[in-house]
Amino acid sequence: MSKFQARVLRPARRARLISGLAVAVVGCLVATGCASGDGSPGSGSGGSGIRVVLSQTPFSLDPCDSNHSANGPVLLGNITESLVDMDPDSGDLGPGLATEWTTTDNIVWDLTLRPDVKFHNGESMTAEGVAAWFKRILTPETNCYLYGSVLTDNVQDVVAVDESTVSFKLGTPDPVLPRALAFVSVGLVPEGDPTEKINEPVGTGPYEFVSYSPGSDIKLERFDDYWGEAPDIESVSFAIREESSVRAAMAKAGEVDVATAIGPQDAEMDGAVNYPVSETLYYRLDVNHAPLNDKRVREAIGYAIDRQTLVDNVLGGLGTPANEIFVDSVLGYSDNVTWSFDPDRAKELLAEAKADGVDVDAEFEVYGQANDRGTNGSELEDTVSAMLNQVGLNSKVVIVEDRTDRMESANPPKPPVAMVQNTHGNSTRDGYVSLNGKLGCQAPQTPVCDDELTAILAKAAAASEDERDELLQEAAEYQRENLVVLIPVAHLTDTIVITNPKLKYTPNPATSERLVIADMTLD
Amino acid sequence: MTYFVLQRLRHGVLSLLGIVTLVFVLARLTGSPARLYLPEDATDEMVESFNQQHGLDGSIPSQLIDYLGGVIRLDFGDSLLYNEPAISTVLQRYPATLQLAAVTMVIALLVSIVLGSMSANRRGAKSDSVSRLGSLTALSVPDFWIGIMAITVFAVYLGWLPTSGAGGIQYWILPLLTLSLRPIGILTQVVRSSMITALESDYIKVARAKGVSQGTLIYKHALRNAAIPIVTVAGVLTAQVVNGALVVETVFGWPGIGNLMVTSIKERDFAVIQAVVLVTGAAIIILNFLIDLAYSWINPQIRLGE
Repeated sequence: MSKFQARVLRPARRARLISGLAVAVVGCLVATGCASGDGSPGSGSGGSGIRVVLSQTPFSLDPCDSNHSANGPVLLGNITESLVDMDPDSGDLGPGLATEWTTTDNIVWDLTLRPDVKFHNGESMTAEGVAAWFKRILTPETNCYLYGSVLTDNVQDVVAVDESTVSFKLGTPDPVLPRALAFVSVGLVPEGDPTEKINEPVGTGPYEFVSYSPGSDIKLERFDDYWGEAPDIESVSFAIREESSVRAAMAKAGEVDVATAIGPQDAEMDGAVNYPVSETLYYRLDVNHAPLNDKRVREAIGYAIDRQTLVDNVLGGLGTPANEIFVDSVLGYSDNVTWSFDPDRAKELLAEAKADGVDVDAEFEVYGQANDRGTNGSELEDTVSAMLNQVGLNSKVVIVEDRTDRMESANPPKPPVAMVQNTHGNSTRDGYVSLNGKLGCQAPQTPVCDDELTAILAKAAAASEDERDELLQEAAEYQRENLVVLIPVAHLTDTIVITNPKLKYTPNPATSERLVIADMTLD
Repeated sequence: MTYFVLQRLRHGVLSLLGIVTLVFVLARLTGSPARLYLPEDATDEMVESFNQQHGLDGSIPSQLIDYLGGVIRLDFGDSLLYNEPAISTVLQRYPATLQLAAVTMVIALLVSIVLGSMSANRRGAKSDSVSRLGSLTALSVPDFWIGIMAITVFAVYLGWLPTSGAGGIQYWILPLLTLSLRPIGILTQVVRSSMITALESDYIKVARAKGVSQGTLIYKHALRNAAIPIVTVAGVLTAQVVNGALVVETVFGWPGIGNLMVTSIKERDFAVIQAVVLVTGAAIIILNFLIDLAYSWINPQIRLGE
């Protein structure tokens, strides 16, 4: 039995009702849509403001997560600053929020703070505040991205010695601590629970945070009480569009002044500037995986890859063939480490291995990340795999989404794969970070734990300047000669588009992770 | 009526529970997001502490019980990406999607009813072929391609409209155009075929014999009888757009739930994925309920709750 019967309306009345409703719905929705304005076409946000489009949604605006590539472009050098400043071109260190640093034993480092520095909320920078900030980073419960990537538990304590001196106490000597500090943003410990994440960042930088709601622009404004030279641009609005073609279209339509991370297909558009970044595309080989457990097979892989062809065809001519997993301006780069395209040598090595009973025909996987920089979908892996098979190897391609790769390959890859593609960025300009980070016995990704390499790296860690350079070169040469775990492919470039003819900006190798608005000027 | 509502409510709650459980388990099978939010060299202790803080350390069934317990208390967990309660993130973004979906469907219905009826009325004529071919094309072309082409033509070359973003009426046109094409394509075909059936029925012939005008015949008599399949299909299509126009919102940077869904899946923001599924699931269940009401309103012979 029916418990409900609809009231019957006369057709004519019903028709009127429907059309009335339709008009009302469209009218009201369009009206509410119109009311919720956000950004407008044309450049900038008024005055000498500019609009920039970025490619990644920041996952945190907490200054202690500022060294992640998704968060850095908004925070670094704009909202936040570090104690030590590093010149992005030369890699030289200079004063930042600290004016000088001294140590007698590389275990205790004293930094003198710059006087009269104010945070955006009006508070003055004090030695105690800075020490508390570093302690917050070093508290594992805060889950700071800086902890583990730049600062480790080797920093055992940070204390305020007097009003303007902060002292870092280390577990083992570290002659390059100031270099690491160049990557640590200084912020203010939040009131209440210090481990609580910060959503509205407060720093000492030339721009202060104004607003951000997910899905809309991030807005910053010039900070009037900035200790340094006032920047040219008054305000900046960061839009986020994950599609490269949409970012390029925004630039072409003049909706933004600057568009970042533009794909190679748009790298020749008006206003595009291609610049080398400190990132290198490379493969990591698993020495425990047949047939890669034979060094000759691993070396054959290195010789089988035609790097120039890859750069020309897969990377659209942007980039340069690589001999090491870091660029030549990094401390520890050795000119003796080279890779050439030599398929005959590769075949020879494979024949030798085969003669010794190695099953060089065994199938292995080339594991790639679909949306990693420079990979162009599966194109990179397909090409590399074809090159390997050309010399007689038997490889097949497995492509995963980059986040899955990150989650699975951070620890020894599950399931273990023979050959993993990755990109490595070394912004610190210290080769120890690369070599120890990829091959040290503690490194989560390393397939080896080699006594001799460990010994060289341990000596390098405690050395500085020329001695450190020599030891790191020795380590790089040792890996090339004896381990052959890291197979470099190409140093990468990035493309930025500047559409506003009045805006002057020269990108540097750090631009993709640190887009310093104060470096831009408007004519 | 009360029985009908109660029955629907029971089905609705059960379906939601099923969907959320499924999404909850599937998301966690991809592993812990700790490695995405912590540096590559993070130690196992750091990963453990992260998991503990975000309730990812227990077994999946015990995590699920905790989560469902939270849902009863209206605590849907916190977003890893936005660092706020997941439900606020979702509810903040939902109006943008609902507005876009509603306008899209109104446009799609109006256009397809006119096109489909015209097509049915002039079956076999040139205009019918054009409309059939047009609708087939509209429903077959992928929306990311249409979106990017529309941006290239209207925003870059002609400069008439903004490429992307949200704001005044000019920001609505390209997403609406892109999003409504597929529903227009599908609905035009449905309207056409059900109108053809309706126009061939005896009562239409009688009405025509009595001299009723063609317009009244189509839009008043035939359309009403052809409406049931149209409402059914329109309902399914509405559910699709309410569920978040994933591709269109991502391409146009529309601050809606589709965009949010893509980002939260990519960044493994579990709490937000679950909240999106819960909210859209609830919306679709309500929508289906309204469609059932509409059936009986269009044709009083259909009774609810039997």
